[in-house]
Amino acid sequence: MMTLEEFTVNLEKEFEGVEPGSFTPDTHYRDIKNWSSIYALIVVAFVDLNFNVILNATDLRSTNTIRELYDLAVQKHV
Amino acid sequence: MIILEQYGVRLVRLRENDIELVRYWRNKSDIANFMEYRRYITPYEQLAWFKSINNKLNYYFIIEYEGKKVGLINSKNYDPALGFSEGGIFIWDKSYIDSYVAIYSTLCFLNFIFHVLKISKTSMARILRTNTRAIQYNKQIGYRLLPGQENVENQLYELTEEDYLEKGGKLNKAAALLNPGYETLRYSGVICPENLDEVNRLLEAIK
Repeated sequence: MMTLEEFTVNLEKEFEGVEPGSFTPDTHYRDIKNWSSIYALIVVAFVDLNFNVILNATDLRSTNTIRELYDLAVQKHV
Repeated sequence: MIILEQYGVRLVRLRENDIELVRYWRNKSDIANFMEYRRYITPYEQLAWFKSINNKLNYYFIIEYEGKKVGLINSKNYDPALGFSEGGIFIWDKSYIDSYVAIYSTLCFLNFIFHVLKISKTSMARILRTNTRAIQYNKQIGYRLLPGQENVENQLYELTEEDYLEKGGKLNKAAALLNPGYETLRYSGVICPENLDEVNRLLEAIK
């Protein structure tokens, strides 16, 4: 399974306009500049692809940091 | 007349009885400031504009979501010879600006253009260079800034079918996951001279 560090690096690559290396596990991913619903869809697609887990809007709202998002994906994957 | 539906959004081709609604919101400063044309639009100008776009080369749709009219999406100035048109969208209902409405509408519309109608290989979009939110939005869908546009005020972006398949594919998958039962694009409408022949043929086939 993807590690938290890999998850962080790969998620960052999904976002246009994010400076490489700027994401850490404690980054509040929904606070990135110009965050919009399109980014939320990208997160849903990314988690589905890597964990075969479907996150809904409530799931996303329950997480702030990339670490929390990762933990939720791992928890739902089991 | 044509209606597109997917992911819970309903796109209804603009009719004359909705143009005053559009004019009301289009004249609001928080919307007009992101447009190239920013002067106040009068009812007369709005009607003249509608008459100029109510034809087979221009497609403006009211966006309906949860039973409310919340925005407008368009593909304009279709060039049959070159196979491209220029897209645009604005959501006027503030309660839906950060919702999935914009991206669901965009996907529904582009899916119709690229996957159903199949007459366009390219979609274009003009975005004010100061509108960083719209620039990011369009890049995530696959639009790329055209060469030589870096210093232009109203910059021209291009979306190829290939780029849309790659980037839009992921977004469509996620949208389908979040909207079980609504993932299939549906279209309906009335055959009329304001539709391209290709659109009328699609409507004829589902009669």
